[in-house]
Amino acid sequence: MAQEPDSVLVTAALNGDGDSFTELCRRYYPAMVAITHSILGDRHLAEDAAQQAFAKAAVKLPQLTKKDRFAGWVAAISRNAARDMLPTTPPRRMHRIEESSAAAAESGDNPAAEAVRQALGKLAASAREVIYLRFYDGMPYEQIAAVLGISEQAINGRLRRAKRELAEHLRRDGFGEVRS
Amino acid sequence: MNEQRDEKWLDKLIAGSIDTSEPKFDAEKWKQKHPTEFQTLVDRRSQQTSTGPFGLLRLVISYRITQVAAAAAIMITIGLLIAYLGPGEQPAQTGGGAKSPAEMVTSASLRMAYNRGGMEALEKQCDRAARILGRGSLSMADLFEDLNG
Repeated sequence: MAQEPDSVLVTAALNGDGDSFTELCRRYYPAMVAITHSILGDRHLAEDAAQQAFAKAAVKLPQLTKKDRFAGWVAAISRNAARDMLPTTPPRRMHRIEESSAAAAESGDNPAAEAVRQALGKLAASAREVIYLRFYDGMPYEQIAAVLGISEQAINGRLRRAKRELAEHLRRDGFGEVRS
Repeated sequence: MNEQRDEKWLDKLIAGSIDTSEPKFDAEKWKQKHPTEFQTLVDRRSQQTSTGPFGLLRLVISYRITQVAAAAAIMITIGLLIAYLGPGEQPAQTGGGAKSPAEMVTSASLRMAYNRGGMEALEKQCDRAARILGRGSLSMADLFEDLNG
């Protein structure tokens, strides 16, 4: 089942095959957590949001018209689920606050890590999203392309621009000198 | 070269700053956490398997267009049944000829006989009418004579 294309699993899930649907969840869970993490800035909340997104997808599955676009479709649901968890605070601000507090606990008081998190919070949502997707256990470009619905070349370009922007933010914050 | 070194430095920084270890999806926990949604998904199996007469009936009832189509099909079937099996009067058969002498010599009956077999059939019909009336035979000449006085 792990080798089956998405469209086959979606068709089986539409016929009530729960195992096919959970296989789809297993396949795209890391990507969905990466997306929701990029919005929420908190790993635990991100996992909750991704699971909620799959629950919504289970109910709305008959609305999916193109069965081979499951990844992109569930990514859109995941973004909405994550945004729903931010009812009052603007996403960027929320990202910075939560990321800094959560990650500070994760990695002690590492000033470099703190600076990166601050800089990530300053990026546009789409740039931050592609960085998280790429850095989640070195996710392959192929899967990122399936999730974002763009070519691998476009992913490469977007990732380069995002990293360049991130590096600029770091240097502007006076972090450039720290590395050498 | 410098750019490559920069990228490696940045990659290391990013990897060290956010928790990016691969999350694992626990299907059983997920099912327990979202039982209603999972049940909705699985229930589609039973909907799919009940495609017998009741499944079809459910489908017909579900949509307006299938309701109209079903009503039209029923009406057409009833119409055809009435047309083929109903006790309605069949139209009078003219091919076998008229029954009484009076009918036999009406202009309509004579015209049909003529159409059927020409002058020969016309003569035969006149003879049949004459035999029934007790006359030996009746030619067309006699008939016209009678009619014209």
